Amino acid sequence: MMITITPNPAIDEVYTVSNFRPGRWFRASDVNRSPGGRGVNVSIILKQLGYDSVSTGFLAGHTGSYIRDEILARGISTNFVDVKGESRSNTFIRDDVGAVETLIADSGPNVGDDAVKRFFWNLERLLPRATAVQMGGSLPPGLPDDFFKGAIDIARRRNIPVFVESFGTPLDRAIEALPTVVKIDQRFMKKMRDVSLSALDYLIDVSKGIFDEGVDWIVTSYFNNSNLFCTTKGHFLAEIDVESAVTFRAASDSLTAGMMIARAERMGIEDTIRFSMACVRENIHSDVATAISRENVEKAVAKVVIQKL
Amino acid sequence: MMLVRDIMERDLTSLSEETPLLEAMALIVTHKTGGLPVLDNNSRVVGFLSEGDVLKAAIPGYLGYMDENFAAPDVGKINARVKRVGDDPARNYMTKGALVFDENETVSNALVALFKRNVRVAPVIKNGSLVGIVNREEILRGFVQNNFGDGEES
Repeated sequence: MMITITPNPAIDEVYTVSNFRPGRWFRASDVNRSPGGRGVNVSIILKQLGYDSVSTGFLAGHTGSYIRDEILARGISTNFVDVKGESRSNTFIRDDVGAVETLIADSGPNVGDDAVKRFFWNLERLLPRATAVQMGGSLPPGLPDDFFKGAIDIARRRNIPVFVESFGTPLDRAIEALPTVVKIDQRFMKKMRDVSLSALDYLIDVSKGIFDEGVDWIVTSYFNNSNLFCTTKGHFLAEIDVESAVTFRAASDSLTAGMMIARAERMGIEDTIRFSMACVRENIHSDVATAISRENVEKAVAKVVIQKL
Repeated sequence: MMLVRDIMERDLTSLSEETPLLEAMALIVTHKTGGLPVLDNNSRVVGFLSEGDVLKAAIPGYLGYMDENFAAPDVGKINARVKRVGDDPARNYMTKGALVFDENETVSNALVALFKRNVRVAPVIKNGSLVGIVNREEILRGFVQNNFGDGEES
């Protein structure tokens, strides 16, 4: 059983609007609502690929009830802590003509000390059955910057592999606890370490710095079609075709889910990279951001191009 | 054959034996459930705290009071009682030896057991660990879905 931790889950509302422009009124040609947030997406993708997980974090209000019900309806276990307020909604505007997505996100409910205490009580009880833990995304107001670090510390004490993706101070603190895999979005890498978007050499330097601290894998997105993997066997740049991609909304989460499965199935380093990138390829070419099948992923493995740097 | 694991709700919200009664009440209300499993430090189900257990704690001797006097207890007294017992641990009020199902139990056996024990909701375990809860409503929903597809009227 795997555990996913989403401190700030959301309802993802995707409005399809042709030729969207700010400042005008539009009627959406299609509206899709689904539970979202990094860990929630990972749980959904894991389930579609045949792996059970428990989705955890904090939920609030009617939005929170909707998120829990939708996750449970997909056959995924839940163990969220309820807090006052309202879980957030992420509004995506997908322009099917311009092929661009606009996101408006809100900050989420306030999470107090009692809720944090309860969360860690739950986590301690789930960990004896856990084979991997994933955590990521933004922190809602009230959660301390060392929230991920605290969760990683507990999991690593039990030798459970931890996959983390976040940004800013919470990620810096998380790295101190030496998670197994750190995934960093290149846009946030630029903010965190002042690294140019196009400078692969700089990205390698920064990844190597984190790797040298004791993290097993560093994965950094590189433009929208590649990921840089920093591993014990060297650096790899993996690329997929994105020309006909429908959405990049859960691309990173499908990569994480793929890496978790690859580790569970004891794949080697290059197979792990190919499998997780194939998960991304299938995900971004699906109409629904979290729709993916094992059969299609297996077919897509051959389409992943890997270059050892 | 329909099994408990096919219809159970996979929510793992639970209480520790030390959870204060007031916090337990809030969790039961928030989750709109008939009660919650109580776990020990090894995550084993050691009891179940139902809404009935909680209400009994808030209104001690309620039934006896009604039988003998036909008078409702004063709300202020109930609130005072809730405040007084609110910090007490869940273990003081939970049902020990509560009904627990293995996830591979058949739904029909579960339904019979729920009626025999006169309970609405019970925890479900796999290899001794909590994996969900089952209640009469979910069993009913399972039967409806089996007989009417998605179980919704058009």
